[in-house]
Amino acid sequence: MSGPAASVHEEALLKPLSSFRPKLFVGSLLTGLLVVLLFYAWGYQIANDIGVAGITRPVFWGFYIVNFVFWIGISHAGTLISAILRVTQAEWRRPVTRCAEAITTFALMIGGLFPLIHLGRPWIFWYMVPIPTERGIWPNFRSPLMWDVLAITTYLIGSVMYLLLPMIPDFAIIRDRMMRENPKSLKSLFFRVAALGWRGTPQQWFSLEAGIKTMAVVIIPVAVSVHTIVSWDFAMAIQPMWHSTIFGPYFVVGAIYSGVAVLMLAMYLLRKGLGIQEYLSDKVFNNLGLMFLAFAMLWSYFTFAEHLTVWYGNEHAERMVFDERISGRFSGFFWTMIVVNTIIPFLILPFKWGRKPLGTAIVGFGVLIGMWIERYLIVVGTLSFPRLTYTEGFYSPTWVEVGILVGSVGLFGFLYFTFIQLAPIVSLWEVREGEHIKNRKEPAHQAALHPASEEA
Amino acid sequence: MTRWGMAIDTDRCTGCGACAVACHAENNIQTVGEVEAAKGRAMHWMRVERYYEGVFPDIKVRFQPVMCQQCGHAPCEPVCPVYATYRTPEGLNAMVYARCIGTRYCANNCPYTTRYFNWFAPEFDAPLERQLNPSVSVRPAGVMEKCTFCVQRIQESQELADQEERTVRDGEIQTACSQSCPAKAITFGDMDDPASTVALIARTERATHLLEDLSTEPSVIYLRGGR
Amino acid sequence: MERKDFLKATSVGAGLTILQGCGSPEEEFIVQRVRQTPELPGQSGWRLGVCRQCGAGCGIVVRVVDGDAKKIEGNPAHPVNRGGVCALGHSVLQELYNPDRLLQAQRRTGEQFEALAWEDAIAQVVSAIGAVPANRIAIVASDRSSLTGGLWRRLAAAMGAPAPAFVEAPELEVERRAAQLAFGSTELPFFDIARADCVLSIGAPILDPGRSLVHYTRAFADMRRARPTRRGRFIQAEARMSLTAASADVWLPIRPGTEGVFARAVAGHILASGAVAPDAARRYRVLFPGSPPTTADAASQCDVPEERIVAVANELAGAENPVVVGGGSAAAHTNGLANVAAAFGLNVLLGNLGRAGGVFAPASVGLNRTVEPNNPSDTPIAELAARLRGESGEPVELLIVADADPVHALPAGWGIREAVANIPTVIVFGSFRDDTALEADLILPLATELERFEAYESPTSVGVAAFGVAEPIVEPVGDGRHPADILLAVARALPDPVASRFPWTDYEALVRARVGEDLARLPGSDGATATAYLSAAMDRGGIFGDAAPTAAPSGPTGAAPEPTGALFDGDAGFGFALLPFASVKSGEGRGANRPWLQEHPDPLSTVMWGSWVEIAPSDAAELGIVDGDRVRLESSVGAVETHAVIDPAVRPGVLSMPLGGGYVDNGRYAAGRGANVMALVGATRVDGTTASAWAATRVRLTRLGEGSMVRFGRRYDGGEPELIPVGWAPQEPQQLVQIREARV
Ligand SMILES: Nc1nc2c(c(=O)[nH]1)N[C@H]1C(S)=C(S)[C@@H](COP(=O)(O)OP(=O)(O)OC[C@H]3O[C@@H](n4cnc5c(=O)[nH]c(N)nc54)[C@H](O)[C@@H]3O)O[C@H]1N2
Ligand SMILES: Nc1nc2c(c(=O)[nH]1)N[C@H]1C(S)=C(S)[C@@H](COP(=O)(O)OP(=O)(O)OC[C@H]3O[C@@H](n4cnc5c(=O)[nH]c(N)nc54)[C@H](O)[C@@H]3O)O[C@H]1N2
Ligand code: SF4
Ligand code: SF4
Ligand code: SF4
Ligand code: SF4
Ligand code: SF4
Repeated sequence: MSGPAASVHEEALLKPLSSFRPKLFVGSLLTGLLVVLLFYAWGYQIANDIGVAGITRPVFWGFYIVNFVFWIGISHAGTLISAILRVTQAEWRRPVTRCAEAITTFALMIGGLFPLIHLGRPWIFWYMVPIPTERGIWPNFRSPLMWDVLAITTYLIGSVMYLLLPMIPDFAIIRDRMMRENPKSLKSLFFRVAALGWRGTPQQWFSLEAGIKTMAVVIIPVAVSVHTIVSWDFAMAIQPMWHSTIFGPYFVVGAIYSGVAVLMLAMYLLRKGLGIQEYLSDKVFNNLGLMFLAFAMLWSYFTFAEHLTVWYGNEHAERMVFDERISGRFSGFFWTMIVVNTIIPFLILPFKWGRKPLGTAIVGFGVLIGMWIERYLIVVGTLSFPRLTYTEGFYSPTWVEVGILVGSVGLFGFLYFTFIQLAPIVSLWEVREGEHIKNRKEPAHQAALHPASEEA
Repeated sequence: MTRWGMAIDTDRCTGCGACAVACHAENNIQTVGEVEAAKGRAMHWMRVERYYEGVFPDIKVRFQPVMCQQCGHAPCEPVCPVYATYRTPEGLNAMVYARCIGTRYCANNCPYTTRYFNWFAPEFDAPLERQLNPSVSVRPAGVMEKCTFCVQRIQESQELADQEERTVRDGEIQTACSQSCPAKAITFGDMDDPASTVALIARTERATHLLEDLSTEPSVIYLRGGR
Repeated sequence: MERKDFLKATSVGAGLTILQGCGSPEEEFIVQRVRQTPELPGQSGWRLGVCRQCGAGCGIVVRVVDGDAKKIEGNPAHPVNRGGVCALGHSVLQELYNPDRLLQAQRRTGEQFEALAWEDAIAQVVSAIGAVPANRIAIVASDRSSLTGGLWRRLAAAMGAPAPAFVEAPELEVERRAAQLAFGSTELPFFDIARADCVLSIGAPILDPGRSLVHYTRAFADMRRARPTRRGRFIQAEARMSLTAASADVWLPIRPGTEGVFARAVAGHILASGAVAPDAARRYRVLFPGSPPTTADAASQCDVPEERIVAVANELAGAENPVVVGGGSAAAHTNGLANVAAAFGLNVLLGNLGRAGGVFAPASVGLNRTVEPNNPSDTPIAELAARLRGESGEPVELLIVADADPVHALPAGWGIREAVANIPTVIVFGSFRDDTALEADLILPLATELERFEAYESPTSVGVAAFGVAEPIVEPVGDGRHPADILLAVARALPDPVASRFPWTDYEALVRARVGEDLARLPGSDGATATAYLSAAMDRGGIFGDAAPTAAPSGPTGAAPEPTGALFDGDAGFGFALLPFASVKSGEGRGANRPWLQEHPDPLSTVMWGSWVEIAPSDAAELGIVDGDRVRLESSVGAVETHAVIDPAVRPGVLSMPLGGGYVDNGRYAAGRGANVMALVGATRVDGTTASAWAATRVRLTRLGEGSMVRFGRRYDGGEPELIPVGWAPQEPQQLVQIREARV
């Protein structure tokens, strides 16, 4: 056989697909249990009515909406980052893009689950779908919730395509290996289908490149619009500390911030778990760390601006909420958020020693918690203090809500573990392309083509 | 054109709460029981808010009956994704229970917190259900509800008026709360009929709106007290 | 101009509907609407009735659909409530359809009860009565001034048993005795609050449930806003921030037991200012010959700033139509009689007897009196208690309790609970397993006022004589009967001479007979036959006297005691004064078994589903009690556990707790819920009366630990008092006044 076989590094990526990896198995098993918890809790809620959740009057929105915003935020990790890097042709992006895009897709799926859970009667969700019925009933497109439906659906479709397109050549690579090893196996069948008959003809390469480029350009505004619209769920309402003009950009920044955080964490775990430091090198962590720092600054700035204007404006209803947040019932949450989202990142990320895998992972973990708290403060913090103080109320989640939150984390992990076993978590052909561009042996494409051409 | 409105004289109101119970009886509002009530899920479409002013011994109590203000610019309406809550031509903020999918967005956006949610299906220990008002549907679990200005009474009077080929007369329609009120603090009527009691009251100096600065244009007028 | 339009509009509109306000148009309406009894399924009709949930006897209109009662409204033609209904009145529907209501007669067999047929039940009562010497029978009933009350007196007399004792809620004996002294009337006179322009209430809880909430609330509102020239003022001198005090323009949180001193000092200042007619002053001195305390002296005794006392005196003296009412906790101290007399006396001094906005003689149709003289020699409850305990008179072997719950409602200090447990035979007329029924050997179920022929005369204190009469409104849910019907059935089954003294087959027959006899005297009876008169009355909701009261009470008949220092039960070591009160949630307890009222937030504490005790922030801080904590109250006679409500409007040193909690059973909504404040109240009596001094108990308060309370409104968290979201303005625009005027 001629041409280079898969490098030793690639083996590390391809093993999980072919052979049994105990680590992955255990991971899938544990997260799988959490998935069971998720659906048990949800089933329990459906069977016993939404009242089994802790939400009440006046706090009509609770964990479910917080989690919704949280996961949609995380979904801004991959697509946006990888798209930005692609568009800006940052070479170091190559090993990162896929594991990032995977995060997007899965986080989005989970985020989209929460409105259904929140309704309590998911089977009537379809009233929000614009289907012409004999009743002439039509959704109300003035409602930000309808904007959500449209934006998130678009984003999901877009990012799934954006994830799948670059996977085609890799599927082809794996297909070819499988055909060599045991053509009859189910897996090889799967990859034959997944590869969509990729032969790597120049025509195919041209369309692929064009497709990826277009998607990269298209996906950025879509992603921005998604979290802007999510923020409008609050900003369009007239409740104190919701009705804010900067919520759009504030939420987008927060979303990307939390997205990078997950990415950092995921990359760290992948690097440790799969031993693929050749791909996810310190350089990558360093560069992403800088991006992370930038968003830490942006988020802190927005947070400061938002609270300063409220405090300075000193409008009665807003001050009620503000004071409870700074020094009252919610101050514990607020200051924890400031510590993990602003102080810790500023103590670690500015320094080269801090932008190592472990450092960024630690910061990432903190920021994840911080960003969840931020959404909790916005949703519950405002709703607890209505203008007519007589109707003030308290919210404490039940095991159902907590179980579903934990379960959703499990679901994410489960999907990710499964993904690792179905596709190389680092884009093989893009990395190869990168290497070849580096040491200009021959046109990039043929390099990537090699395995495919063996069949021809 | 008709625009239903209400005036509440806070200087007549003594906080007796008859209006609140009347509303329960008229509108088949469920009682949720001690455990649920403790979670803040008690449903009182009409609630008589109590506020304190001053410090002992010079402390004063203010009572303020608050129900859905039937806003002219209702913040709860545009946010409903399925048109389950909308504005009627006669100025009511209506609820279509069968349409409500329970997002609870409307309740979040009601600055008066006058919307109540059916967290569980209502239960009436037999034979209490024999009291239920047949003119009002009982709401299932997962559905939002609130003061309707006793729309069933409005419809009844309008049907009667149609049969007698006339228009509804001022004072002919009484909401359950206004009819019970021992102090006669509540007046209901057509704001667009300049001669109606409620319209007259609405033009007096004591007339004011709740949270006027939000320009929700409520259909409920409060007559300020004089204490 | 606008006013003319308005009058036009309403007078036309009124013809077809129940419009707020009162007058003949509504009466037409009632007649029209009530006649159309529903025939078709699903068709709804309106039937007239009489509310018997409290002593007021308001007129009601009941919506009936497919034979079920759906909604209670007020009868606009009834002079007492004029279209209004209170929370308790609405909730009769949940008594009618209560899941735990006893629908059949019950007999005790060991610990269990078993149902039995009416005939057997009546036979059992008869044999029980026959089995004991008449003087060993004790009768406890309610509605002392009603026809039923008269029947009980007659039965007792006929059997040769001691006179019946009557449980009153609230107990008004002290007020009546004070009225006797100050106005010379045996029953409570009419205080014309609606037409007064300045009202001083010395403890009188007129806007709280119990007396005639709907009547007084309307009167109060009209006093406030119905007069063309200016807005009426209301001053409440009471130790507790009651629902009445909450609506007052001025609340004077006076030291408990010194209400009379306050009233005397006010009188003294008025006398000194010489702003009164010499004759009025003379008559006042008949009531209080002694010299009143100085305002300075009173200020220190009452813990009310002297300038406040002076201001009140000047305001009263300066007012066109001042009136002074008194009662409630002021009447329930050992010096209660003097307190109330001192309050009533101010009216004499202000010379408002028989004047618009003043005091008028009691008004009555008089039908009650004709059964049996409303004789003052009823057995006082306190004396009955002594008998039950076997401490006076003949021991009791048979106790008959009709439509009352003495075990729950009377002070623990009287030891009724223990005593009743030892009575060989206890027969109860009642529909729920209340605390007395639990001791019963035989329970005879009652019909609600919606299921029975009802006739009830409202108290004399509402200005207009009102005798409500109504036919049954719905088919009986169970086997219940009117207490009078049970009584008559028993009496007629007893051997002569008893039976022969009860010629009436049932209560309706009795009422018809009375109307026949008194027809000539009855208002608007000219020429009509008794039957026609009564059916006309039923189409209106009752027999109503002339609207405007005229007769002035005669005035002071003798000297009243001076309101000297009140004594308290358990002074030593018990630091707090305890003030029991009736919340609109449950009245004196009637509402406890109804979900609507249990879930109804108390207007001030906003508590739902349970009892609580109201504590001043300073006292709470001292004892380390925070809102919602479980606390224990101890008196010399008992102890209860409940939850703490920290309330900025509570007078330090005073604790108040609602009635109607702590039932052992009484149905699923009431069972074991809350605590019974009467379990704390000692045996102290009001001097010169037989009434309980239920406000004269001192208690000790201790924190038990954390707790949670079911609250509807935001709790007071020590912050500055909440701001009300709408503005408030004192001045009164002419135009609106005219509207109000037109509506009254
Ligand atoms: N016991 C009893 N049964 C009856 C009747 C009765 O009086 N009593 N009446 C009978 C009569 S006359 C009729 S017409 C039927 C009516 O019975 P149904 O046709 O069942 O009418 P609903 O129960 O009002 O509505 C059915 C469901 O439609 C859902 N819904 C609301 N809006 C929409 C929408 O836009 N699209 C869709 N797909 N679903 C929507 C609601 O959530 C509800 O659960 O009931 C019949 N059955
Ligand atoms: N809130 C609410 N309103 C609705 C609907 C809803 O789902 N919810 N559904 C709508 C629909 S689809 C319909 S069809 C209408 C139905 O509305 P309606 O026509 O009012 O139907 P019902 O209320 O079921 O029946 C009316 C009355 O007819 C009485 N009735 C029963 N049998 C007979 C009989 O043999 N003769 C006579 N004379 N009367 C009888 C019943 O006791 C009932 O009180 O309601 C409409 N309005
Ligand atoms: S019924 Fe009338 S007086 Fe009583 S609380 Fe309601 S509005 Fe106020
Ligand atoms: S009061 Fe609240 S619920 Fe009612 S119309 Fe206004 S916004 Fe909507
Ligand atoms: S809860 Fe119901 S009414 Fe309110 S917004 Fe959601 S769907 Fe509309
Ligand atoms: S208008 Fe009707 S629905 Fe609204 S509060 Fe009054 S009684 Fe309730
Ligand atoms: S005041 Fe008494 S009689 Fe009148 S409605 Fe209320 S409970 Fe009934």
